[in-house]
Amino acid sequence: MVDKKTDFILIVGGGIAGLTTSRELNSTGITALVIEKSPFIGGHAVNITCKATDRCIKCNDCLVEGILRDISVNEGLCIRTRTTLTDVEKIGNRFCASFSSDPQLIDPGKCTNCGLCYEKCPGVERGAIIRAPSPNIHPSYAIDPFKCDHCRDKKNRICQAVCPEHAIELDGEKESWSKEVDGIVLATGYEPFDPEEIARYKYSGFSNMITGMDLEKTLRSEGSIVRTSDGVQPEKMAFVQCVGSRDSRLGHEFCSRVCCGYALRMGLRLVYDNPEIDITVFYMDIQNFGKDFDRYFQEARDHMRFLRGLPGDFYQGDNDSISVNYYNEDSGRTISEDFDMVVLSVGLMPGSSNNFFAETLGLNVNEDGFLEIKEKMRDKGIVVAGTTEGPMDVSESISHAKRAAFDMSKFLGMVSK
Amino acid sequence: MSDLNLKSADATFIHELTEQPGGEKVRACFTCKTCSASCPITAVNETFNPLRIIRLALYGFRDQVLGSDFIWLCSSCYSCQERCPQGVCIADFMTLLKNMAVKAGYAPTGIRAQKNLVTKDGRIYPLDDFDNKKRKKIGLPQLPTTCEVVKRLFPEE
Ligand SMILES: Cc1cc2nc3c(=O)[nH]c(=O)nc-3n(C[C@H](O)[C@H](O)[C@H](O)COP(=O)(O)OP(=O)(O)OC[C@H]3O[C@@H](n4cnc5c(N)ncnc54)[C@H](O)[C@@H]3O)c2cc1C
Repeated sequence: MVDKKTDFILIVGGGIAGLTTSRELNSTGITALVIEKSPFIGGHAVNITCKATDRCIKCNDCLVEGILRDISVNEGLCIRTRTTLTDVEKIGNRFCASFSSDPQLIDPGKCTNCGLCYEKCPGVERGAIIRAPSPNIHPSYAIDPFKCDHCRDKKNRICQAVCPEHAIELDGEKESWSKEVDGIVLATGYEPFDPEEIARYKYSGFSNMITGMDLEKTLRSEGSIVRTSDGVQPEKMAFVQCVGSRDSRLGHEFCSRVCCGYALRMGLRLVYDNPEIDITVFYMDIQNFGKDFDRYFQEARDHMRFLRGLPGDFYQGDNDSISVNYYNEDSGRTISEDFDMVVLSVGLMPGSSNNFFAETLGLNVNEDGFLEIKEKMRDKGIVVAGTTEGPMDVSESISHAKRAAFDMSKFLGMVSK
Repeated sequence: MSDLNLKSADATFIHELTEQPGGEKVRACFTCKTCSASCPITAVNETFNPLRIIRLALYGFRDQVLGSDFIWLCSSCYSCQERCPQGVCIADFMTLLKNMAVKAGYAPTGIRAQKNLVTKDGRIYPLDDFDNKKRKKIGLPQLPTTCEVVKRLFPEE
């Protein structure tokens, strides 16, 4: 058993799973440091939109905001963004972890999220200062050093000058540092599938073909969706399911578990916003994961057209529409139908750090590419939380992260084994 | 094909298919219909539908599959095979079915006529002196009008 006072846990990845684990550990008195490679915590889940119609349809978006709010008021949590793990060494019962941190540029201790930097920055258009996808993320702004005038060619320092709290320091340097920790939680999550990997979708060739993640982000930030080509609201949309999942040729035989749920729910929301909209869902089989799914599916069937079978090819239609080829049961032939917009329901792919962890920590990557943690590893103080282990939705990731926190406390001897 | 009766199905058919090149992965089909959706023949002729042929074969409808006209409609363009997410070699499977159909004595008259032409002349479109004269005119080399060696490909019947 490790001395209780010195217990210090490293959590790699500040997505919903990593944050939940840190909150849980913290509530039992264990100190944890969360490192997050991007400028903002929250991971992919902060981009998903609330899909409520006239009532909540349980898409889990608000669970994410709840956790972010908890995190922002919890003084005891240590979070370091723009930081990655570069190496881990086992030293006796502990680990020595090495990190590399890009300069924070905005000091979270001083920033009050007033937004003056964002307002005055001449480079906002090109993304020199970005705003967090949720107001519950602190600091709510981040400077992209590759796009900032000052960081690029030592020109403007406007944000630094206008910040009333002197929270901005543009001259920060990259930093390498290390720390001894007692246990490691791997919560580096997943990557949404990149449809460029499948040539027949011609994803980059159609301005009006987007991914489910694009739709989530747009509905979240804009409240509605318009066609990229002409800014007009689509009247006829198609969702194509299983993009990147259940594809043995890509080595992804697994079901991503969330795509049926998010596509149907976003469809219901779009129908609620515009009852005239015509939505078609191309699917192989609807996977009903999650609570009350069946009810939403029944409802979706009343408002959308469900066609069993995936489309073959996609061509340019009139007026920037997309012509979708699919097998039509009634005629027994393959037909082409034009849609104003096509949404590809991309799945959850293994995170890019999995192989690195497997090598440095001696873990297993399963045949799908996700990390597999055996009981033996948990006994050595390594646990995994959330989608690092496989596809899960937000609520499953939260439960999984709670379990990870429990396993970690058990390892530290806080709970009887 | 409306009155299919599973009682007439032959459970050994699928084993035979999976043991031969082209049939190995056919069981992996999970009926996503990508093959039919990308088939240029299905677009113009509803009797040809790769998905249905695979299902019929999997259920063991040996005679209905091998004896059908539709397996001969496949143009071997490989669109289906390129797209199948399960990696089923659909175009190769169609070739396998055609080969088995011939062995089972189901080859349609057109195919048999083609076979006779190839055995006789070595080509589906026989060449004669007239063609060689035309070839000479435009500076192309002469071609033999018979092609004995091809006969060896076909065992004596
Ligand atoms: C299009 C789409 C729509 C979805 N819609 C819904 C929905 O409506 N409802 C729902 O419940 N779920 C939905 N999901 C699923 C949801 O996004 C996930 O369940 C959730 O994000 C998982 O959280 P996580 O913390 O496990 O992983 P992530 O969200 O991926 O978080 C991992 C974090 O780790 C960081 N990281 C990665 N590598 C490193 C590293 N080496 N060092 C440091 N940090 C690192 C990442 O930057 C990220 O912040 C959707 C998914 C997709 C793709």
